Amino acid sequence: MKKRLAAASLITLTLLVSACGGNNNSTSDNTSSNASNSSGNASNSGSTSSNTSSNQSAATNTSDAAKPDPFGKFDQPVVLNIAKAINTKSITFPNGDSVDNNEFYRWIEKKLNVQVKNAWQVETADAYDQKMGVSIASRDLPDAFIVNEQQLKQLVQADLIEDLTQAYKDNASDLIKGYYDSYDDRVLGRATFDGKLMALPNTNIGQQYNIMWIRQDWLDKYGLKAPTTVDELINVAKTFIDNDADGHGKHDTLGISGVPSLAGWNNFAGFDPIMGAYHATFDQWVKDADGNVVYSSTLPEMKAALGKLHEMYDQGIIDKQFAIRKDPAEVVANNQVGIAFGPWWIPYWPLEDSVKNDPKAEWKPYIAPLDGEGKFYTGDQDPTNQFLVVRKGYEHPDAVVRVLNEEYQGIRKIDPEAAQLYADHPEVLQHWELWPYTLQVGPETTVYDTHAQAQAAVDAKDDSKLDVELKGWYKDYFTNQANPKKDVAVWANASARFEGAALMNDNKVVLSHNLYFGKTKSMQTKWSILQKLEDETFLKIIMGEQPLDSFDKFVDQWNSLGGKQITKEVTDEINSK
Amino acid sequence: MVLSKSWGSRSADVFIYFALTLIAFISLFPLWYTIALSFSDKAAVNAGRVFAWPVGFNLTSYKIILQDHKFFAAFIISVKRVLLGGAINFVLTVIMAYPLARDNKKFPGRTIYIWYLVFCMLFSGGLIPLYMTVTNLHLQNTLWSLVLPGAVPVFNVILIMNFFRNLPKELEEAAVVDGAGPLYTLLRIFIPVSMPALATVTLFSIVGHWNSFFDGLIYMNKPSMYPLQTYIQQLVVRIDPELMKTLTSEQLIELSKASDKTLNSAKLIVAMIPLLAIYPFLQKYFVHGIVLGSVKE
Repeated sequence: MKKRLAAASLITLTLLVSACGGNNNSTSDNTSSNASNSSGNASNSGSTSSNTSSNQSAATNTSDAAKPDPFGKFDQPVVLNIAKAINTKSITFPNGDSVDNNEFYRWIEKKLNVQVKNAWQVETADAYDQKMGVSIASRDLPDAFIVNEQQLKQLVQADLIEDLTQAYKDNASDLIKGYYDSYDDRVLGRATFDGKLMALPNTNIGQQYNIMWIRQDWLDKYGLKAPTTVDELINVAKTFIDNDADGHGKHDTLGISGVPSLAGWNNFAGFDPIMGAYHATFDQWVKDADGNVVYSSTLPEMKAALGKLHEMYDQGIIDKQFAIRKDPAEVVANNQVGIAFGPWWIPYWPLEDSVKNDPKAEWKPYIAPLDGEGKFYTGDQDPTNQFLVVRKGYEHPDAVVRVLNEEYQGIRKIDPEAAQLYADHPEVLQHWELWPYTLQVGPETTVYDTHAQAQAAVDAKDDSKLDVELKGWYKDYFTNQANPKKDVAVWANASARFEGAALMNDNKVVLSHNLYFGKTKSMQTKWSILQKLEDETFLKIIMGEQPLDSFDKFVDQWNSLGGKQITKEVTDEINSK
Repeated sequence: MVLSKSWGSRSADVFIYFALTLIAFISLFPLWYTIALSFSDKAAVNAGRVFAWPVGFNLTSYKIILQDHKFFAAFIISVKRVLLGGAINFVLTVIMAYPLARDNKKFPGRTIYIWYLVFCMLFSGGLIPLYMTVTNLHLQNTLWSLVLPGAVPVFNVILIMNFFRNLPKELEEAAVVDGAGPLYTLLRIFIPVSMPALATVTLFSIVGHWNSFFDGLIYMNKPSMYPLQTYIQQLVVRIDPELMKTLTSEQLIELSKASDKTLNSAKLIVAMIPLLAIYPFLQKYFVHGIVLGSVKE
């Protein structure tokens, strides 16, 4: 009796287990039908608007099978399910519109006969990553969705996404192609596998390197000029420290704040500008004088930079506690430092807190410190990190591309009719992410270009040519001039857009291009160890726990622990392109 | 009763009170600090100037959380989930623990069932099979996806089963002699005398349902269907330079108005209050319903 029961329960167990495993095929069908049910309302109201307008557009646009038109309307309605991350918290829709059904989606349907539906939507990027991870693992995929580079490689390997080579070639508009081509192969190349284009990548806005922000009011107090070289910078910092510039009355002024990860992209308070003065760049693949691919952190320039950083740390110019501070922004917000390294946008955070805590604070950006020839040397940014892919088996990859065309005709206000959408609701219009894809595609120099437009309008005192977003900056500029720092959010906008961004086209800047952003095979297993070795060595050298000459030992170690092999793989990858 | 207190015992009392007060203070201070942060001005918080009292008192963070009807919609979903999920957990726990508390003679195969349960408690199929099961059963986007996957809390079943086993046999025998059937015995004898244990496991499942956010995220395809914890978890003001690259100026301004530190503190407080409110109501069951004195040996 007992044995029989045991056997029976074992069988039940195996049945349960196999039931879980065998459902791969049907999953996607089920959910896509769910999605179309749940957004049935959206399609109803959408189709009424398309009926009224189909007459006029049918006359101009006829879809021709032989020669695809980037803006051609499909004869049969096409349904496109997408996944989307958009923060709806700050959006107030008029007339009962929603993320699932709004003027932008209706416009796409009217122009292309493509019904865009949100298979699912989340509010944050983190949540998107988690949900997309589950979706991919269970093969429960929408028709078009955005993934990161690692997921893209997995999807390509598992053969789950469509080859977009032809769809892109035939259907992408000149505008979109032009944006991608302006990056040469640096963006599209990342989505190309064996000569096949598997995704449409985003383009990250460039010009986000750290520059020097300094307290002008402190400089003026001691009759100093803004420093241009590292040595002048040290002198200024010394004056600030010795005179206790922050006036808290307990000698707690610090020279320069730092961050434990030292430098690199997206590091507020990173030491990149000081390293740049010695022509050292952090964590980049570059070519040396002989044309060999090398890792920039192992070069002699880095040794020189670390030597100087150690000297500065020793003298107390660099915050002695920078390696153990939880948040490098805290000393800035508390007005203990007068020099901070950060991109053009740091007025939004954390300088804004500094100004709020001390309205006398007068932060000014400078392209400094410079090298011996008066140049500002710094590394470039990863130009892409998101990829729009199409589920394998979706019938209309061309529709995916055409939706992107229409989206950017609208976002860039090229189509005058699309520019009228939500014209009466500027607060909704500002959210370009309401268009189907939250994929940013544009020129690398957007930060400076938009500044130049806004500055021209300010000079002419005429904002009629600006779009809604830039009109807001224009208004903030004059509001801040009339009442400086009264509203710190307004101050932040004026300072970032009209002072920080203004420096982003400076001819003193020399950008060092990283030749390789991806991950090679050996990197997947060894890179984290090498990074740890690098971080620890550099930190110890700066803090004086190891002599500067241990840098040479680090380079040897780095090579023998796999760095050599990785360098070879990276060289091969670069040469194979 | 009069206690004569020597100097020694008095000073011991003082010491004990002092030590207990200190421990209570140490336990409560982090909570108080969080409250202080949530009411403070974000510039002061970012500068690390808040300690025991809010600096620059304001309600911005609470406004962000409570601002619109979405919060209350999510709140109602959470309440529904706790009521439905708690009830299902309760019923299934009791009707499962009751037969399993019999001995092997009355319930052959009991051991196998128990091993089966323990196996399921220790090993799970993992997230992906679970997700696929839920999707294939068309539970996605329904309240059922939140309450059915965890309908039988095995750990609770084992707790209650052991509690039932430890009840005096005479109680049940007396009921049987008086002509009570199994169901009657369960409802009239076992449940009333097990109130403290049942209150404990009910609290477990209520807290579990209230606090879980991840299932809401993966099973619900629209933010309007999120339960409260998922909704709150998604309300982030994250100052991540990674995001700065792609943010629009509108979002940057939004960012500069709130701080992740104050908002996170406010979120903690808002999420905690409803649970704190439940405890006093369950408190009485913890002392009631003891079997003491029901049987004379």
